[in-house]
Amino acid sequence: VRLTSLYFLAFLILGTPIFPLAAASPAVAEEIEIKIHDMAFTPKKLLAHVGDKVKWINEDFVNHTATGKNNEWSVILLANGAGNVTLTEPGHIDYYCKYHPTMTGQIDVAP
Amino acid sequence: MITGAALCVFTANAQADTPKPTDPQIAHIAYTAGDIDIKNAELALKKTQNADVKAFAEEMDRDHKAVNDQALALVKKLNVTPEDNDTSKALVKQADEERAKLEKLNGAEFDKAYAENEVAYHKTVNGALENTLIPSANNQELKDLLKTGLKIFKGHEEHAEHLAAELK
Repeated sequence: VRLTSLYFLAFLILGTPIFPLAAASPAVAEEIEIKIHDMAFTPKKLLAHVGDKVKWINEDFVNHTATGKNNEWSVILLANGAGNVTLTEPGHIDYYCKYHPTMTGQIDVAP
Repeated sequence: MITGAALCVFTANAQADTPKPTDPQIAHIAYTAGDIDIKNAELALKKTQNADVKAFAEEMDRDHKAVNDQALALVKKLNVTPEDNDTSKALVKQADEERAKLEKLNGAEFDKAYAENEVAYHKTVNGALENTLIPSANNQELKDLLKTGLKIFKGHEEHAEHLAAELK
């Protein structure tokens, strides 16, 4: 079984997408908000840390998603709704809106 | 292609001797333009076998319905009755003709024509929103909704361009 399949399985069970587990977690995890307004992620580029929770808040009246560029994780963000993921591994994440592929964002996850 | 024809509709209304559209007319034109693209999307969903074209058509159907729902809620709130007008009528006539052409196509030929038409249609409607409808709107809430719609439709235009390029 591929490791990515296990992460996807965890997402299905937990309802929250997770990224691969890190060796260590920061002392204090933060909740960081990314707003979606007028078809754009703001901030478009985000610096976060392992353990942080990233919450997308959709202020548009159309549905969006936050979907990993590799399509291994995806959060549906209904109109005026919200969704989140917890970051569990350092690295660079490119994501986009599956419904509006020209909407993109990046998260750099520091240890 | 609908581009030239639809452009003529909006250009004619932009002539100096043509009075600018009223808010009830603008609401009708904007709603009609959205409804046309919903019908185009429904046709595409019936005909296409291409996953990317299907995803795009679903996006058009979902987003234009959402915008039109907002427009209906706003005119109700403002107690405004959208007013049919020559621009709306010409848009519908030209779109019906274009859709009749699309209906005769199948497979990759349909996909390509649909995507190219979506690029042309969104360019035309976005231009009209930017240059005629938004500047002419008097009510601030209507103006704001049109501005938000324009941002959504510009995203559609960009997506349609990517899709059309992939299908070439």
